[in-house]
Formats: sequence, structure tokens, C-alpha cells
Amino acid sequence: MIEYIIRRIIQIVPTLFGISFISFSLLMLFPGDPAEIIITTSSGYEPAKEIIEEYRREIGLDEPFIVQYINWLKKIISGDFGVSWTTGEPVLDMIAERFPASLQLFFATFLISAVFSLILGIISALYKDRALDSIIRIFSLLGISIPSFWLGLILIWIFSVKLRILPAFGYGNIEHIILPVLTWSFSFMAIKTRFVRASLLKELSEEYIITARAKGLPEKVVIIRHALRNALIPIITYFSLSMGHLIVGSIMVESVFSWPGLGSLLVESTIKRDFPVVQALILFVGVLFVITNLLIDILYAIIDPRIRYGGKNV
Amino acid sequence: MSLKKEILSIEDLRVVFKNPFKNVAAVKDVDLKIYEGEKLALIGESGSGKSILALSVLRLLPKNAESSGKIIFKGKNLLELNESEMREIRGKQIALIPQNQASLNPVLTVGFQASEPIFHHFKVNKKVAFDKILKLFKFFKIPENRAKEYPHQFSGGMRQRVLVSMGLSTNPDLILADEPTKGLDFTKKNKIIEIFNKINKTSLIITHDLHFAQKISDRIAVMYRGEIVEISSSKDFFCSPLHPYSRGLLNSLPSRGLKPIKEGRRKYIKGCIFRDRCDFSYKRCRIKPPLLNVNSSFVRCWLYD
Repeated sequence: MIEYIIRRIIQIVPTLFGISFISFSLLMLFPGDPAEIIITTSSGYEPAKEIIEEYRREIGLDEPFIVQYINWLKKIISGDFGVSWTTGEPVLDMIAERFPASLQLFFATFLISAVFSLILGIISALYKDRALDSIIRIFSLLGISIPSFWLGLILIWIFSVKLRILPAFGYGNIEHIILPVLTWSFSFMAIKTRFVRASLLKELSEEYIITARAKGLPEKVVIIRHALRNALIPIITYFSLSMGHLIVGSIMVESVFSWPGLGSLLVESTIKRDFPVVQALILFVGVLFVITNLLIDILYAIIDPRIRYGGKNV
Repeated sequence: MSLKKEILSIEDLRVVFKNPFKNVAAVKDVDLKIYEGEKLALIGESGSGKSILALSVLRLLPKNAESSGKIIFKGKNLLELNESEMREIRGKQIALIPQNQASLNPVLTVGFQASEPIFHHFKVNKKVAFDKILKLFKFFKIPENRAKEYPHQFSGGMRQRVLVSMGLSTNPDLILADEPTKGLDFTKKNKIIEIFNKINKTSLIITHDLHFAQKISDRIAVMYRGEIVEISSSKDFFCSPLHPYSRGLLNSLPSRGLKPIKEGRRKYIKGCIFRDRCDFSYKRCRIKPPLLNVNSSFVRCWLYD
């Protein structure tokens, strides 16, 4: 088990290098000259060519790409993510300031959508092709097809404009989080519900299910003890991979509800061409993704004995 | 034979799979009795409906399968029982020993799975049931310390022994074993033969392995395209098989000349189902023969009328 975890951690290292390389390359891929952008945004007027040239030498932008990357990587490893080109604030502080808001929103959404999609998916599989199943399937189809920014606006219109019971935007109190979570959960759990249903139905068609039924076990036990345990393996993968949507999904929801999280920070800094912030955010998401993947793999080994004992026996 | 008590009596059983475009009858007009203490081997090629027959006894077929006729077990027609009455019979009175390939749950320990029928039916706690299964494991030479391992860590032969222990754990009145030697090599097969000879239980053993059937069974029933074409005592069957299909099967054995049965042509045939492949077919075979009684054997062939 320990050996397995260590092996997985070693495998992560090249992935991390890849992520850092890509997030650094973005600086080069963006249109526009970084040195020019910095001087323009900080001074407010168009600088002369000589000034740009000198500044470029000053911050090392005249060096070859690889050298720049290595210098940048050295700084990152020592914890220096640079300062924002627009505000002059350290990037790390900016992310740290916005992170809790995103985390709150994400975990509330993740928890609610995971619990509900599991329950609805199991019910759907149990009542396959009957009325209850159809209702749940229609419901998840709606969740998949309704864009979340539109749903968010509709919810704001109903609950904030018409009923006046919930705030349309803002951050801090519990009532602020209700609408964003509701919006995000709806689309988040729709696909998951379908996934749970499909995985469970697949397991129920396996041969060991006949064995379990032949023992005289009630259907409830067959599903929970036998089918669900196996279905959980793909379900957990899928659920955990969706954690990577922490920033991607939050961009939409955070913009609609003016939620001060990483998603809206990413939008703001991209518009302002604030590269150190964008780079750091992308690196951050990537690392988060890799870490959740590692945790999934460890979780796998706990649920699936075939992985836990892999390599030792046939 | 007539003095013996019937444990299971299948009468006029027909299993039809309902599909949107075409209904398929997998089992047709099957009459079969299993007597107390005997081992009946049901032989036939793949797709002949052997496993379907076993699963229909336990009423474990998919929802689109419809069974008609009677399956009388201890005076009750199993086809008329409700789900909860059936659950009392499954695993407790009639046990299934499934095929060994994917019949064990990959994420549960073999010991737990094998002891499940005990603690479920006898309402004892899991520890007691586990200890009980360890004794059975010991009897079948599965090391005690491996009971907490998972199916993928077991070889095919060991998995089969786990399934046998599981089936026997509740001391059922009848055992249905589905292809117990499938996928096993010669030495492992011999171990399974040894085990089945040790078991003193009324059993219906489904197999396409003639050698295995000969070694373990008292009587043989031959199934072909969903119908039973011959029921004979094991001894008679291997000395003088009656039905042309049975003769063909035996002649196709390597030890008896490896002579294949003639290819068939038509998919669906009226009358005798074997007539397109039969060397002896004549005009009368266009009418379906009944199961005829010939010196205490039964055969579905006009040659014996």
C-alpha cells in the first residue's frame, strides 16, 4: 500500500513540470509584448521604444525562453510568485485572499450535488424504466442542457427581484451562498446522476449479481452490498475528477453572482493582461488537479482490492 | 428408480425470451425429474439452454424471460411463488454453484462472500458464519489464512472450490452446479471430480464436459436446442446411447475416433429438431417425436417407437 502511494507520488513529478511549463508558456502565447503592457498599465501612457527595450533587459525578458522559464521556476519553487502588474500586490496574497470564497462555494456545491446525485442515481437505477426513473432522467436532462449563467439569472429574478427573499449578489452571510450553490449544483449533479445510474445498471448486469441473488439475498442488499460497492469505483473517479472544475465552473457562477473567488480573479486578471496572476492561477489549478488525482488513486486502492494487491498476486 | 423420492420435478417447462422484434424460446417442453440423492448431469453444447434451465428453477432469469409449465419442488410450484417466498428457497433449499469466471464479487473477501448464505438464512452473526465457512474451506483444502483474500488472488480451481463451499454452506436439499469444470486444466478438473464425488447431495450438474459427466453422475440428460432429447442412466448412456445426437456426441470424443457431427443447415426446424443433422432421419421426423420410454431410459426419437 505504502509502496503504491510512493510510486504514485514519484509519477506526479513530471506532470508537475509539464503544468509549470505550459502555464509559463502562456506568457509567450498571449498577444502583445509583456514589457510594453507593464509600462503602459503602470504609467498610463504609451512609452517610447528605448524605454521598453531597457525595461525588457531589466526584468530578463530578452533572455532565451528556456532561461526565462528556469529562472521563473526557481522563483516559484522558493515560493516567490511575483507581484501583480496592475496592483503591485504579491500574487500569492491575492490568491490566498480569494481562495476561501471559492473553496466555500465549491465544497457546498460538491457536497450537495454528490449526495443528491447518488440518491437520485440509485433510485433511478432501482426503478429503471418506470415513472420515477423517467422523472429523474428528464430532470437531469434539463440540468445538462440549461446553461448555468442563464439559470443563475432566472433564479436571481425569482428569488431576489420578485420574491425579495435572497440577495442577488454579495459575500459573507449564509443567504449569499444559497443562490450560487443552487445554480451550480443543478448542472453539476445532472450529469452525475446519469453517471451513477449508468454505473449501477452496468454492475447489476454482471454475473456476480446472479450469484448474490441466488443466495436468497433481498434486492436491497444485492444493490447496496454487491453492486454499489463495485459501481463506486467509477463513480468516485468521476466525482473526484469533477473537482478540477473548481475554477473552470466557478468562472461562470462567480461572475453572475459577483462572488469574490478565484474564478472572478481569473477573469479580471485575464482582461487586464495581468500575467503573473494568470500564470499562478493556472499553475494552482493544475497542481490542485494533480493532487486530487493522487487522492483518488489512494482512495481507489482502499475500495478496490485488485489495485491494493496489484503486482503481488495474479 | 420409481421407489426414490422426487426432489424436483420439471413439467412441460418452456422459457421464452421476449424481444421487441422476435421472441426466442430457449427451453422447450422440458420434463425432468430429479430424485433424492442422485446426481443428474445435464449435458449439451453451448447455447442449448442448459444454464437457462437452471436459472429458471431459481427464477433468476432476466425480466424479459417468461417461464411456463411447472417446476415442483417439495410440493410447491416454484413458478407460482412470490419473490419473498423464492428468497427463502434460494441459497437455503436450492443452492446455485455458478460458473467460476466472474461469479464472485471482486471487492468482497472470498470468506465473507461464501459465508453470506449462512448468516443471511440462519440469522447468526457474521463471525459465526465465517468460522463455519472456514471449516468447509478446510474440507476443500482452501488454506484458512486465505479466506480474507479477494477473488482475483485465487486460481480458477480454488475459486471453484470457494463456490462449492458457498453452495454447500447452508446444507441445501438440491444443488444446481453450472459448468463446474469450465476453464480448468486436466489436473484441476480431476480435483473437482474428486470434490463432486465427495459431496453427498442431490444435484443437477450442468456441463458440456462428457468425461466429467461420466465420472460424477448417476443419470445423464442430454439437451439440444432447448429440448431434452435423452435421459438415461450414466452407465447406459456411455455404453449404448440411444438418440442419434447422443451417439454423435460420444463419437466426437477424441477417445472414440473424433468423428464430428454433420453440420446443420436450417435455423428453425419443425418436427424433430435434430433431423437436419441426423443420418437416420426419414419422413416421420417431420412430426415432433414425444419423449419415449425405452427400458427405463427416455429418448425423443422415432427410431424407438
